[in-house]
Amino acid sequence: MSRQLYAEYTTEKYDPIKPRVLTALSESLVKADLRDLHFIQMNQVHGMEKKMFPYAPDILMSHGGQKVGVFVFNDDAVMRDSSQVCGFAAGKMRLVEQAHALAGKKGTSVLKSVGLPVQRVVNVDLAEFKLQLRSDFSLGDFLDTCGLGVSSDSVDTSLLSGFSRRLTERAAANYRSTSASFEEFLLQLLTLMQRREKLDTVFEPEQVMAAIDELKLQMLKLVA
Amino acid sequence: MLKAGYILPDEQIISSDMQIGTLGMDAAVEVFYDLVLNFYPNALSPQYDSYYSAAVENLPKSPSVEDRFTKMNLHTLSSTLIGLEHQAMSHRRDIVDNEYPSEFFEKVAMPEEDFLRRMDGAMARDQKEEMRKTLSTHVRMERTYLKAWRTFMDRTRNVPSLIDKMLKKECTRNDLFTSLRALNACRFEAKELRDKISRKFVNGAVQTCDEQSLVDGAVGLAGCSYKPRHAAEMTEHLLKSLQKRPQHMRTSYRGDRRAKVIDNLTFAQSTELLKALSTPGFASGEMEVCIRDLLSQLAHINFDMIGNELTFQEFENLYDAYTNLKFSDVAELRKLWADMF
Repeated sequence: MSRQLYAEYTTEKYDPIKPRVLTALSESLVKADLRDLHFIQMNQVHGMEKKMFPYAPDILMSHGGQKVGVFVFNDDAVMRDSSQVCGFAAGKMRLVEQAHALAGKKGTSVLKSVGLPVQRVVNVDLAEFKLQLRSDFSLGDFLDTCGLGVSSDSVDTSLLSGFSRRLTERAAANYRSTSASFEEFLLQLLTLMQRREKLDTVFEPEQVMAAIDELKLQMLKLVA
Repeated sequence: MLKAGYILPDEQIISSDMQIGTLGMDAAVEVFYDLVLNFYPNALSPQYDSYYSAAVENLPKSPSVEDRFTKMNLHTLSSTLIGLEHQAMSHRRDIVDNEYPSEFFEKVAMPEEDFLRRMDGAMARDQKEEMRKTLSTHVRMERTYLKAWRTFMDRTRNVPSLIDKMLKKECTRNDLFTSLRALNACRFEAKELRDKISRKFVNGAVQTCDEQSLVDGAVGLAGCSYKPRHAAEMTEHLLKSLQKRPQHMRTSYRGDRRAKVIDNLTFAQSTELLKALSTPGFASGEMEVCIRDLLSQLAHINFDMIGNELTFQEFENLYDAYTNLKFSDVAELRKLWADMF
């Protein structure tokens, strides 16, 4: 890549704080054994293709039934008085969302990008060798303030089985992002269930029918 | 000049001189003289002063032009801050190397220089000279932790209140455009102040803006997520001004092909403007004409050796603009990308 011809690109590599913040966030998410685990592992394996995505978020996770790309920024990309990301960095985040939408992968939910300033996670004074975790920082709360909290029209899916829960959540996320009619949406769900049935014989026909009924009920609640 | 990166061709020689403490002004003067001789020879012409005096003698002198740089007004403050931010974020090493937060980080980031210092007495002079040539000419640590940036951030804490005071005086549209970019440079969102600036812009007299101020205005509007209340009017004025005939060409050179302001921007201004106009969140279908003009100009340049012909910042601007257009949420701009690349 042409960028590598420049000394500016190859020399400025040492960041004493950001990699540590990223590692801490990823490890704590994995160790917390949340539902997010599935998404993190999936994206770590597949990665985001450079051809389709010009920039990649630092962390990929799920929150409130949405796929979230977390961009961790240093001081130069953040407004100091409001902690909001500057226009150019926000543009890059929007670009990733748009590229994700243009890629049009089937079964891929909409990606929502959020910018997280390093200074919101830690207090740093390198001259005095001080590095302190901010006690008022909570990733969940931060994502909620970015408008990614569980929305009012969502339902409790904890009583569903793992497969039905994941399918319902992902399908609901897709339904919000498309203009398909409700009938088409249910048809898509049924097709998914049938495909799954062919691939995996674990489910009995009665279980599949019960799951479909359950899904229909949950979907009705969603659009009510 | 070292910090700004103007002396790239001879920097290895300068670097070795710098290490033994003989750089001083002599080496800088020598490189500057070579640079001027190679790229701007007419500046060394003995008749230059006479030419310049003859050229400016009959120009109409407006008070605003005379005052612009002679006392601290909003434009002077804003453009100074923009320049300082550029220097604070420079990748180049400082000439006296006092930029890392502490000696510890200097050693971590540049272990080979620490090694060289420790082995100073054990190496032959030519060995040391050879090794010095391989040392990095750029900083090796995230720039936001370096002293230059920390100092800049510390000393610019009061910028919004200063700009607010200066807004009470008479301001031109050039000043207001540049002040928006200055707020970005100091990393202030300052919503109320931006609203105030945009209100003053709309309520003030209609004036012609110069090229640099238009670029500053575009960067100022695109570089902040918050859109001031009258951002739409400011953007409209900006786009119209870019398509106008330049002020200095209105009375002469009527047949000149490069008859629009946008055609007379420097290359660095063009790349900055292109990036700003294509930034998602600021870009719209109305910008298509300007972006097309900029891309047409760039297409005529035909770069061969990117690393030699573009600075890193220009390359980054162009790359960002390319990706902005490719994945733009504005269909017209995506189509433009497909047409032009």
